[in-house]
Amino acid sequence: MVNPLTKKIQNKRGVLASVAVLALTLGLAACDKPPENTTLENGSGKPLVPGLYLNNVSASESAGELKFQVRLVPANSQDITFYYSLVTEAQARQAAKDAGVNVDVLDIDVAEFGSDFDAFEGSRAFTIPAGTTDASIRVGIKPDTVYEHDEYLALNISDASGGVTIRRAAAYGKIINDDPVPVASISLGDADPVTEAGNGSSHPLLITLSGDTEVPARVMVVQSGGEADYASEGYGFANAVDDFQVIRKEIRKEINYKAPGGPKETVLPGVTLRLVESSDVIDLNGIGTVIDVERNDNDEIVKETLLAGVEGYSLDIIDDGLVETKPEMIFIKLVALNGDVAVPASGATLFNTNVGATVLYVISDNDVIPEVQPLNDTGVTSRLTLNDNTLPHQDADFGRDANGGPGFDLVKISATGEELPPEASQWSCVLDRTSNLIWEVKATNTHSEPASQGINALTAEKDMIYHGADRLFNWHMSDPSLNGGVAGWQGTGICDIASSNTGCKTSEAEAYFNKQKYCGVSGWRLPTFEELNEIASFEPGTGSLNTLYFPMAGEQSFGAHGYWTSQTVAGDASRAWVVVMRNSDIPITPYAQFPKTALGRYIRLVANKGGM
Amino acid sequence: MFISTFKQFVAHTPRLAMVTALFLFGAAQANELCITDNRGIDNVQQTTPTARFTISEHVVTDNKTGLMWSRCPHGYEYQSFGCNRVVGEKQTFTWAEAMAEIDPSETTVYRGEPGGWRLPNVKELLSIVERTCHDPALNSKVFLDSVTQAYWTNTLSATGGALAVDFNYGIIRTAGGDSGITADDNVTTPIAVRFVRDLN
Repeated sequence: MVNPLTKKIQNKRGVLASVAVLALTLGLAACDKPPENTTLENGSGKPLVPGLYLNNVSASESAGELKFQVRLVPANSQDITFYYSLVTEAQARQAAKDAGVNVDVLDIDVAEFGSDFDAFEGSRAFTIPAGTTDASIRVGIKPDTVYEHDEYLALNISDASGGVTIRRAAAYGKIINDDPVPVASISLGDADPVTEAGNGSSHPLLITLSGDTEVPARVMVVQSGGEADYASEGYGFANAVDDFQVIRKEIRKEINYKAPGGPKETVLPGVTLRLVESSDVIDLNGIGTVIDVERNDNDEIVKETLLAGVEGYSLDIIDDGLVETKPEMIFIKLVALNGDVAVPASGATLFNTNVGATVLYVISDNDVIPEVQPLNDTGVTSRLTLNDNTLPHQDADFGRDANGGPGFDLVKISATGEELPPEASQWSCVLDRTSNLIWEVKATNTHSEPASQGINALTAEKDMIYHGADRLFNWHMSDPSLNGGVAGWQGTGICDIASSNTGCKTSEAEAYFNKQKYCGVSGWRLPTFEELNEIASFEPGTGSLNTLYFPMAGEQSFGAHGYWTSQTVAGDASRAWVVVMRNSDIPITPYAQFPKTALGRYIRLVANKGGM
Repeated sequence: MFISTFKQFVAHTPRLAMVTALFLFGAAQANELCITDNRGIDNVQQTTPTARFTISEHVVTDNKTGLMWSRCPHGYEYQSFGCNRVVGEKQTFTWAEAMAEIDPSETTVYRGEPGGWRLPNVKELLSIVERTCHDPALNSKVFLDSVTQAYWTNTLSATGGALAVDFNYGIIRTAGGDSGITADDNVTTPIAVRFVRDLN
């Protein structure tokens, strides 16, 4: 029989309320005061109507039985007979459920018929002998060896004889757990080594719960320390900024695990550390993963329920491009969320997460040392004298120039890519052997005289445009991965000899060179700021470029318009860098930034040797 | 021609004017601004991708050029969090001071590495400009907490004085023109120094 009080508090919420609900459900009478040992009288001195009280009882599992005390007040001159019955487990559970109490996750439990105590069905008669006030209803306890919550069962009494009123009909018996706290171990599986190139690969991380517990084990996986243990073993420590990113600092996976008993080892679904491209992160903010594992009496997993969140967490391994001296590690460890929850009776720790709880991922370096490509020397052989003092260790004292060698290692190249001797009178490009770059050689001023510099004669109009020394171009680069977000000049002017430099795009020149496979190579492009400086001499009194190889280079008569580079200005994508090169006694290469859409600048295209 | 262009640019870019002022008055702690997130995956091509470098604590080797650089400017020392100004040491130098500050002989140990340390020439210093960044135009993973200002080269300028590379945007500073430096004060303006040595 369910205590009618239950229904009055079905709307209660919260654990404390829930405990009260269960206690009431199981028969704890909250409204009657406990009986005294003395005979109660009413105000007139006459004896009260005899009343029967059933009292709560607690006993350890090892006590063997629960003795429910029944007290009759006052004692009667005749035997009093009544009936008692058990509140069924199902009734208790249902009542608890109706009241919104999940008895499985509280620190209380409903004793199971048959397994926790000697159950019986129906009602049994019980007699209190005449003249006796106290008697005990005995319910046998079935001890076990499982650590568990204290368990409750409830008893009702009814139908007393002899006109006796039953003043407290229900009481609970508490079976106190006397088994020691088992320490279940939770461990992490081994981790696979990861390479920086392993973006996108998936690496399961298994969490193993071994040992016995009836209390839900809730663990959390965190990225953690522990580096010191490995620092002496030739590993570096992966840095959470440069080497990988954790979407949440806590890689959290909660597992509510409950088993009915018996030694076991269970492998739960692993946390998967997914290595993903930096641009492909999964935002797990605010999402926890909670998995409920239900098991049957045979200890088999019946159901695993993902209560919230998603499987797996993202570790964003960053390929830092660094050539590293040591493989780097990420440490992961488990933290028990309820490991320090006070255990009834003992207060001991529930779970041991110290054993094998740290796992590490080793990130192997995938970066290789590039081939050495030394810089050109500056061509400077003069020294600066200050106050008649020529300081040592100047530019002229170092490098090839200092040893009397040529500052540059240049080779003339024919229009079809053949290397030509230095005395060749016709050539189209120049190979810089130091940088392995092939530079175009400009032809004559297309607005004045015909070609007279001795390089390959330009006949076709297109050639005169795209190789012309004073031809001006508008910056244009359509590749969004290179143009800084601004493609440049979008005008539609005509690019021909008669167009007065208004309609030529740098991208068209590149395309024209590539279509021709000019000087035997493809991949013609605008040079970078540094490449233009690389080919220049800084020696006072000479031009920027060696005119024996680069005729028509920055003639003063052109005005110092400068040469376009391929590079967008950081902080202002509407502009590109320009390097001013002069064929004069001031071979400086000052810089300028110009709007990509500004009136044209010169170009001097470049290609990598062997570029196809 | 160029001077007017620069002034025009400054007029359009107040921030650069400020940086130019810092260039004259001394060290400013860098707060780098890059087009990309330094991984070269956005919409420009890095000029100094990190892959080119082998980094130690105090020094970095540019595997492309075969040059070893001090990660911190002279007068600063490497700390795990960046470069720390060394109390009692100068952080800026006139050109003559910079030239005399280190002996390039093989017996000179600097930043824990022996021999050959010197001022870079203009091409060498330009080779570490990261053109996708400004203030400073450096790869901040390679060169830590670098000062946004000009650094001396050992290359003389055709217009008098010596050349410097200004790392606010990664440009060559020459005497007699840009940024207001005249031929007279070109070598006496104290600016920063970063030493280099050849590895081959």
